[in-house]
Amino acid sequence: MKTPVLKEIHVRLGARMGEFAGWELPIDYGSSIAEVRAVRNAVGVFDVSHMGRLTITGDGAADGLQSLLTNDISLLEDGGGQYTLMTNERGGVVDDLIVFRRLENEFHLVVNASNHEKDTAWLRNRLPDSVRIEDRTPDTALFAVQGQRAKDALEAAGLENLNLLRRFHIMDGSISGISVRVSRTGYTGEDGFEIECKKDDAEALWEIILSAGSQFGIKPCGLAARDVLRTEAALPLYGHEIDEDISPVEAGLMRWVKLSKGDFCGRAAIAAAAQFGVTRKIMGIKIEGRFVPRSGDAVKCTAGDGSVTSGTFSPTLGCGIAMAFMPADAKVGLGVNVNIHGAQRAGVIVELPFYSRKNKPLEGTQNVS
Amino acid sequence: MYPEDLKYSQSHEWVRAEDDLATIGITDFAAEELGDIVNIELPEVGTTLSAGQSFGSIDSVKAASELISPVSGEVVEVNEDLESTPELVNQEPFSSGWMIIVKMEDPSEVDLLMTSEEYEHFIEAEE
Repeated sequence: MKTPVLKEIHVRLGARMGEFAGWELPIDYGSSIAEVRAVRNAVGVFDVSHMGRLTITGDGAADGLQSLLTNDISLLEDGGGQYTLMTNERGGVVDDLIVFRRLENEFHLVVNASNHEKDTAWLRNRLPDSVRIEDRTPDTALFAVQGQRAKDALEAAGLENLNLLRRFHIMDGSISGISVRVSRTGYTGEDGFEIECKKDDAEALWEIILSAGSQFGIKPCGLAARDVLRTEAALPLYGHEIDEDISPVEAGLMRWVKLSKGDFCGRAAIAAAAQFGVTRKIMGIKIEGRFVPRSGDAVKCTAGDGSVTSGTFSPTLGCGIAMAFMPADAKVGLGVNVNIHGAQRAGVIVELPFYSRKNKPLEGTQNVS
Repeated sequence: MYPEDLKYSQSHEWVRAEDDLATIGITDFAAEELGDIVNIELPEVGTTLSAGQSFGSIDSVKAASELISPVSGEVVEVNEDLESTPELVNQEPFSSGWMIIVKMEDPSEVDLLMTSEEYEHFIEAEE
């Protein structure tokens, strides 16, 4: 099992460690609910050094990536990035990732830890020989600083020009003399940043962020909180809402598939699925009460049977929530039953996401309408 | 470090036996392993349990697990507070975080469980 460079520091902070994607990672630092609240109300920092980071350079890099990714990278300016999918010939999702354009033929990719090696091989086999793939992961660390006070925390840490860094953009910077690569991205549904540094600087940078963020209530956060936050924001997780046998049409990710950009791997299959329709789609379910749906739980409703792909208790909403594959003609507002611990628990299909910072529920207020 | 007046099961429940009544909860070790507890499903009063049988389930943010009855008998009381405040099990696992009281069919079943010292060794071996 791979261990993050900061393992000892996490353990000293009280982390419970656990296995994820072949890595031993912090699950929580005592209370995952307190960590979720810190990110929703202030700021939290995650060590996400396990995420795969690749630099793709050389003649043909842009055209090569354009032919393998579903979003349109020709829309990117230098320093711009986008969420995108890499799909196979059948239109299934090989991985979801973020691609940044650094220069005309230099791209920075952030991929799932579980797919890191598969993606590298997939790209190597399909990109021209003139294109180099460099794996930055072993030599760098990556921290996600997330929440409405993330910008304040990083400014207090001495990172300059954050006002110029727009959502889904990347820039080089420095914090107390440490060179960093910063993007305005995340996996929590909040404003936030992901900061890469050299492995040797990781410990110093982590301490600087925690100490600069303390006045804003920063908390170190683990994978359990990360999973709750991304589920509340309805962000897909590879192996749950997406995999090689799931189409972006079924996963509800067509916003990031540009069928009109020209041909790319999987385009014909996805276009056909979009045109002729699919039988199942990812939908959101809110459970009545504190029952906690889990991946694999069976769902029943008048439109047919479904299955939970991700489920958790939402501290932000105060109830159980799930993303689930449901019959495509099931509608928002339809009542469902989810089999939780062998009992049928009532729920209702709702619009996704469950949470977005634009219509944030105010802490401590009642809905009076 | 574990209360000496309690007995312990390998699935991390504790039992406080007084005559034929057994109060059952889970240990602080189990509660800490689970992390923040968000829902607990307990049986209704009157349910008959046998030792080794599931009497409910417990969900934390990160995982779900079964609750296993260390003794046989009838459920005579259920901790209703846990329905709205399951975090009591994280906060006070050995007192206000108790789960059920069982009227035991055979109080000698308690003798088969571990003492606090034995449980402590059991935990060390598991870690």
